Amino acid sequence: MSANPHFPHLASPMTLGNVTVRNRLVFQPHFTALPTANGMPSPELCAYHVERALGGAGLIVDGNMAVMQEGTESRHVLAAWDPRVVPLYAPMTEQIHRHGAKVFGQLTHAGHDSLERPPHLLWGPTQMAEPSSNFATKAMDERDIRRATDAFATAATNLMEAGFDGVEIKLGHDGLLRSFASPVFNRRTDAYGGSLENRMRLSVEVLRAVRDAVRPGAPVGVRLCLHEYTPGGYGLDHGLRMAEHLEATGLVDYFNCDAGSFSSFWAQIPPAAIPQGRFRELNQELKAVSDLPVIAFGRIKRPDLAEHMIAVGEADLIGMARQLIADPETPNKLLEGRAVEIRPCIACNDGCLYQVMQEKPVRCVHNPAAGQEAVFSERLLRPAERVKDVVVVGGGPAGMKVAEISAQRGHRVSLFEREDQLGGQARLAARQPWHDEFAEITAYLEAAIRRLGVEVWLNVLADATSLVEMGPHIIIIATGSQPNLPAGHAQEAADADAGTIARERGLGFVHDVAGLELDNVFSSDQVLRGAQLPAGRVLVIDANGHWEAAGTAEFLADAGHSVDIATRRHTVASDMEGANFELFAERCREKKIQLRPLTDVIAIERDRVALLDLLTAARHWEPYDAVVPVYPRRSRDDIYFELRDVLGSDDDTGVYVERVGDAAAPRLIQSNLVEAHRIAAML
Amino acid sequence: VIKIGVCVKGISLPPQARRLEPQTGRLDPAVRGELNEPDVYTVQAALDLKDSAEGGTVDLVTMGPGSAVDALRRGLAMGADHATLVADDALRGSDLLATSQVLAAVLRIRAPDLTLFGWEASDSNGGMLWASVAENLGLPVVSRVWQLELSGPAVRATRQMEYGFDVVEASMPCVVALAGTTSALRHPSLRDIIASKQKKIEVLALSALGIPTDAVGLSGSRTTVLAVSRPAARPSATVLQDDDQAADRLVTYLIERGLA
Repeated sequence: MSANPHFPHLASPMTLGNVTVRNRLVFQPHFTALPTANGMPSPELCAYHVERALGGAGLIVDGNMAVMQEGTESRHVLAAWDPRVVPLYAPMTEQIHRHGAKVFGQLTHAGHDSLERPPHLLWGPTQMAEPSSNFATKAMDERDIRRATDAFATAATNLMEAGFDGVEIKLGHDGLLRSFASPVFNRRTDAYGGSLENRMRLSVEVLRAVRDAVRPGAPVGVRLCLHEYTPGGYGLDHGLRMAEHLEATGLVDYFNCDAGSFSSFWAQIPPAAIPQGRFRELNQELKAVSDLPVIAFGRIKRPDLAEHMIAVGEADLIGMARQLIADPETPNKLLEGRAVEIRPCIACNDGCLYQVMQEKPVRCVHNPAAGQEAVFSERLLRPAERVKDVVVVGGGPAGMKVAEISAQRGHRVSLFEREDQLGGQARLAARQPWHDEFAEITAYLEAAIRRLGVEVWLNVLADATSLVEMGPHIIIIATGSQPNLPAGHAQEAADADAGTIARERGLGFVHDVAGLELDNVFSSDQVLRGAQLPAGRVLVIDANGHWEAAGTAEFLADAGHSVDIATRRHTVASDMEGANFELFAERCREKKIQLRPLTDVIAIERDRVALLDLLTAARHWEPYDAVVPVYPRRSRDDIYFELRDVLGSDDDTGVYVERVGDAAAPRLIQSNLVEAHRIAAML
Repeated sequence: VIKIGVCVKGISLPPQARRLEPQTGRLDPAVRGELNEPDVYTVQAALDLKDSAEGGTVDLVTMGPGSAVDALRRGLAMGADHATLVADDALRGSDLLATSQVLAAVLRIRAPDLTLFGWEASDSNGGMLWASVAENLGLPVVSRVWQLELSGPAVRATRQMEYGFDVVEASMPCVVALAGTTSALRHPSLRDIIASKQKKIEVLALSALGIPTDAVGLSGSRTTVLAVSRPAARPSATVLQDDDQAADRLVTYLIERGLA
């Protein structure tokens, strides 16, 4: 067989135990919250993994399965101890095999980590709450230790019966086995604490039990946290000694690298502020001390980096979780020379991590199908029954998504954008510190619609009369939104007042805080477009809870302003995902951004702002040179109402008109893209 | 009344999506629906000249896959009057020489007073086609032109040279290759776009031009792509994690190698 011309190393097969995987790309184990609330494999879970097999992954590791009730990290983890999972899982493993991939199951006991509030009884080596949790553990006695070990064996037996090719033991960023290995969580003085050998004893016993339970030759691997990045926790040297200790038992077929803990969330699922490939050093060091195959981890998404890491021997396989959530077809695309078509993970953590941390099914900010493959997979799109002329007004994310999906279905699509570039608000969002990867969402969509032959016109301001004159079957209004400031505000210089028709008709609303019209008030859009603010103190109002206020505040701090952020909520950026918030708060300390929760802004004057302390109900004035209010935005929907007026309200005109994205209601990009996909799939 | 021909190219966007065909080593002619950006400015320059002449026509000429009609439509929406596309499977793989024969054949039929070229195609970046077309037509050629005006039966051109500007005149018919333009772009309105759909785009096969198929494509090309290869892989770089001493280590590294 000749080498793959595009990524020869990634394309080459690899053997783990008695299993040969077709290429070096591994769907990393992770919590999906897709199993049912009583731990059974759901159709959604099966479709999720089968989609990645179809997408070309070599190995799929179905992750975070619990070995016993007390070891469940969530109600929605897989109950691997329960034999009822076997018949429900068998069709999934069979389909994954049919599509050429291999599948391992990752077993864990969640120990002191749980997403449930309040949690079930938690187990740990020493009675202690994990620092991020409010709940202390039960200190395990020897009977509990035996029960846990037996539970791993039982679960491994179930996986083998369900058709899994191998088993991975999680000694990773969460769970019981790492808390035993960790000097900070394990204070025992018996045979399971103290020396490294003692702290590793439980893991070795589990490995032995699992090895006895699996088919002879079936691979057994370890997901190994190499560095806890936790105060008092262990570092890389200790992690490497753990690896050597495990390897010396001869019970392990491969290592899957990992780092972090619940107390260092940024390391376990690194957000965009952590550079790509940040943990390469860990993979390299492990590779240097181990003879076993090593799966690399840590925000590896660029195919050339992945290929390079294999080529130079930094790792043997490349683990990707979020990249394959964002685009299950990543392996096929890159091995077929279509790398440019890959939908890149932007490491926002909003769709995947933020969802599952609430025990909600995994999603992706810009792959509408993630976790709901059976509904939204692009493979399931039906060609249009009748080819129609679709006109999309607005080239932001929502408009481009409608164009992409409509064109895929065979419609003739043209798209009109008033600015000289596509991307809409996403272009501004990408200017916030650490948000440059956000632009990859719209870069992906632009590449897709260009490839699909969508007729794209820039610098065109559409009007209702001309649109109707064009005679399309479908008109999609995806004109986005603008900051909701009073008419006449300086914001209008770059972005004409929109939503005027809606306001005339009582369908729109403007915030009535006194002073919003003043020229020391700047919208977030103005700031990110580069408006010069008066030097000095700036107050950013966060009534959005996400990045719009938080990232704009950082942008201003980087530009040399002294920045405060006020919010009515109990915290600034109340809807920000945890790992991101941790790093954001750290940067606020460095940039001296003052966070002022439970603080309402009730009036603005030229050089001062009236604040209301929501705890004490006290009001007072404070000097500020500029104010950046980030309120929920208003739809730029005038053209929709104009079209309705031209066409009449009934749907008998033969032209179907729909508002999509922020033009319908200003929201986060994830909601807009799902909605755009759903609408386009029905056109 | 002046007849201006503009040779343009349909290209694919975004640039990173372009790739070389493994068999020929030449650009994959996938979707070519965008008008090459230098050509957008050249069409504008032609329209401005037409306005200054108080009348005339602007005639677009291209060669490419069927999708290139979308690129031509953009020029028509800007205000061009007529467009010709030569599309033929036999053209695939044509180099500069073969392409120039085809464009020259169309220009002989359309017979413009003045033929304009943009400075280069932003996908293949050759920047030489105008010379070959002018040679084929036996016409004078003025290159590297920034400013162009009509001067009776001639054109007066300001050429950008190494040490300044040359101002030259050429009698028409002639070929002019722009190096840039001072024309301000006028973006078509939705109404212009609608109107452009009524304008005629003539699609010609090779046979209509009387050019034999072996005179174009790979067989009619004088340049051959011998090999296409990726840059060789480089060994891993040393990555310094910022542990508060990274700067010191970096400085030491540079000093040790005599680089600082």
